[in-house]
Amino acid sequence: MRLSDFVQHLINAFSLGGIYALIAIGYTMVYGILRLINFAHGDIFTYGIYFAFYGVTLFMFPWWLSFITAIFFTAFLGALIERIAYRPLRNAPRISALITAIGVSFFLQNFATVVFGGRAKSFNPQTGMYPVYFLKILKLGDVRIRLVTLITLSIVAVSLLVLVWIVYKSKVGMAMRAISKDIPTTRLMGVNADRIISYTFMIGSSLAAIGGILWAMTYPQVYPYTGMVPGLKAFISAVVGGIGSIPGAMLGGFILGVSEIMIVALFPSIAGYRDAIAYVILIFVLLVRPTGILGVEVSEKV
Amino acid sequence: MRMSKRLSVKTKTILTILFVILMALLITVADKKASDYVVLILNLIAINIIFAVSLNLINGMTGIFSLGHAGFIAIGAYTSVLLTLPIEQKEISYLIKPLISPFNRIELPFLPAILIAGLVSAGFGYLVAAPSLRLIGDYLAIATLGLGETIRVIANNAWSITNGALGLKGIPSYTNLYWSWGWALITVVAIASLVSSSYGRALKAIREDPIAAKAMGINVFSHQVMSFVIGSFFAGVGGALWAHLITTIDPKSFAFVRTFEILIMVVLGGLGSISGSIIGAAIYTVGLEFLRVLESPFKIWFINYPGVPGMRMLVLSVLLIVLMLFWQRGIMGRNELSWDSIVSIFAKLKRGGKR
Amino acid sequence: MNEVVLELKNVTKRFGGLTAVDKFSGHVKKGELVGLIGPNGAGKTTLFNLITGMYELDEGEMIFLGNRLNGLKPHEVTRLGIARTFQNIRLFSDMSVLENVMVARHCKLRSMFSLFSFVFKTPSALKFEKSVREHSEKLLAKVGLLNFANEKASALPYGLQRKLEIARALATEPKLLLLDEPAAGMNPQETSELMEFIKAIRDEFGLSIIVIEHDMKVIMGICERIYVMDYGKLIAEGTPSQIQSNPLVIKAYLGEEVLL
Repeated sequence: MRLSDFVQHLINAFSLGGIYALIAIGYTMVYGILRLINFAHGDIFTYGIYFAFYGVTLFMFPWWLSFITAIFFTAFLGALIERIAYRPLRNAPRISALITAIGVSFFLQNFATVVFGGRAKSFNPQTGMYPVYFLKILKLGDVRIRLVTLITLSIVAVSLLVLVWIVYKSKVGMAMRAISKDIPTTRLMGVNADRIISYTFMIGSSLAAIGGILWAMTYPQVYPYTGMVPGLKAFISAVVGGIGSIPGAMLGGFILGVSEIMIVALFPSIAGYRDAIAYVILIFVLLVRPTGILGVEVSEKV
Repeated sequence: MRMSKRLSVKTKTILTILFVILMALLITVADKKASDYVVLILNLIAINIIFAVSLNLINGMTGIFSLGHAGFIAIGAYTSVLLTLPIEQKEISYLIKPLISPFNRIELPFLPAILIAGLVSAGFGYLVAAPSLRLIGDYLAIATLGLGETIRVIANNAWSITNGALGLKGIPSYTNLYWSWGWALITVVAIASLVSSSYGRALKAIREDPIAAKAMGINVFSHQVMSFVIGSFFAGVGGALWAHLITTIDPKSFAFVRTFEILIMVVLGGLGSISGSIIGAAIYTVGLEFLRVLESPFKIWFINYPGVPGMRMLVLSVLLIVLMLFWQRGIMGRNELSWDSIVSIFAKLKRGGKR
Repeated sequence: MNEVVLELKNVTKRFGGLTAVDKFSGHVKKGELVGLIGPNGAGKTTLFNLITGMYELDEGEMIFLGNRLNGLKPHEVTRLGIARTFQNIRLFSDMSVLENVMVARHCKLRSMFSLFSFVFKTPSALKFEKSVREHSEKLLAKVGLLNFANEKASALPYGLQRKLEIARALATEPKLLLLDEPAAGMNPQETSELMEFIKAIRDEFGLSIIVIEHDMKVIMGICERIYVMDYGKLIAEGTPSQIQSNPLVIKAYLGEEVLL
């Protein structure tokens, strides 16, 4: 492979990895606080794309406005789901919450099928989703990449920085970190746990929406099951990096994105098994270090 | 002071035998007289019973939260089909790559194919169990989910084994009411027999508190593996029966949604109850058919309902969420339906009437 | 007659930077009632966990009836003849009292392949089930819990739950019994009954027993020998009267109420 090809693939890999990282953060934050695997998170990603789509096609917003409102609506959706489906089960056995999350995921998928229609919708400049020049191919020496890839990388970087600021520098973030250690004690400190948990879902869902829109600009289609495979891979990213750890989610996302693209680039014959790469990484990590790369060992007192 | 009557073992055995004879008669009648549609539904109920009871053994009785059942169903289905598919059909179907030997030369009757399918699934279950069961709770769920999906991806890409995304058709329709209900009976009896034995107690202990179970001399790991392998065996058997019922299979038939459906059946009936899983499977299968009505147009009063595809699964997912929010225990909870409990229900009703 | 059943030599366990058990050495003779005391966090339960295979030790040796315990898994240790109860009662709460005891007999099965005989309900399987039931019912009768046989374990009052946990451990036919704070949460009446109970089962079943306790009435009342731990180390060993007057022991407990 020529160097320029390699660099191209690597840039695309980081772009994909960045999107996985954005989604993975949502999984990891919710798990860190509620010990719940939010199966519906991948579908929230899908709805982010749908909201952006309808913003332009239905409400005739300019693309940038549609993107912003989509992020807000998705955040709201995430908080709504938490309120209705997860909060009542906060003290229930974990298996019940898990099954409910699966149920919510299926609900969102089928609701989209019924209301938005099962056929894929196009997310491209022709329908006004975003300016045409995003797809312009830039040349740096022999390396060719689309502008949209660079935009993805930049937005991912900015989002991650903003997130890190929120989590580690703001009061809300401190409350979130406290709650992930111990909910009852944090409550005793005067923190409104329910409100902080809602914020957590909102932040995670916003990131998922951003990831979704970036995804849709690269893979220009949205249908009810769009989020299923990226969602699962993002979830695996979170587990690989250490579920409950935000830096872990970022690391895992990049590891998965880079592995997926680079392995297929180096061994084109296994392109059909592309999705299985994530599962193989997952199984490997679970065998060798189940708590993930940056994860924390939790042991039960005997 | 209310005296609770317990039936003697002899009475219970006679009642059970009578019940089985009754079921056999009903099945014979249905086989001869019922419409194709009803026969299909009855077959599906039986196969779903096999799926639900086997998943219940793993998830409900042993407490292993496995989400990969669809993968083992797929293995059973494909294995059995590879063995029974007529050789000419194999040659026509495998367009991209020819089927590997010895399968391309084999054509077996149904019974050995089912047994081999079950054993192969069980074998995979054994291979998978060892690494996976070192994980707990959520990690196990994810690992098994990933596993089920991996099997699907492999099925989609292994053209020379599974014919990839094209799938296989022209499967001989061997499954009839006798096969499906016969195996359902075997599954229920085998698993119920296991659960009512010392092994069943050990599994429940593992579910309650693995650390205390270890301290009481139970090899938790080997028992979990055992449970997983047995559950996978019957999943494979069910998969074989299913493939020979619907006569075409492709990797999409074994997506995670299959595991999800079986999970609904088990939770509906009560996680941890064999009779619950049977009831759940029956209700789910029939209910799903009833909900089919939502996908074609009809008229209520003056409202024209256009009939929406996907409405079935939508209602189903809402039902599952409602179920989990308000009725986690399911119909039977962890209890079993027994002759004693049926008698006491009747006794209560009788007393209630007299008041 | 009084040969050593359990021998611990320089047993050490570290959790990262913390040495929970530090070169502990000791022994238990056949039929002895040995006490293990020390302030909270001294490493007593950790020692139990090491003996029973719940934790892996870092250094040292543990020999039980000629068998090396190092590296054995918990169920293997139980099969050799060591049973235990837990600081926080770990009954199988959803199962009945009788089932809790019956499940402890499951380890008497020798091979996993016997599961086929259980599925097919062969005569040998049925014989085993019958013997399990008989043995368990007899045991419950001996400890006075037979009336509660079909009650859910979680429905029992606290004192009886502790008794059940001990009965369940006895069902594994141990030669050495480890009791972890059996008197915790009991009133003086219950505590006296427990003391008699422990002595009775020691005599009846020919057991050696190690008891972890904070209740000094129990320790001084029934133990023939006592080991005292503090910060993972063994700081004293001797008879009750020797321990009571040992300045190191008193210092370790300084600030704590010592019930005599």
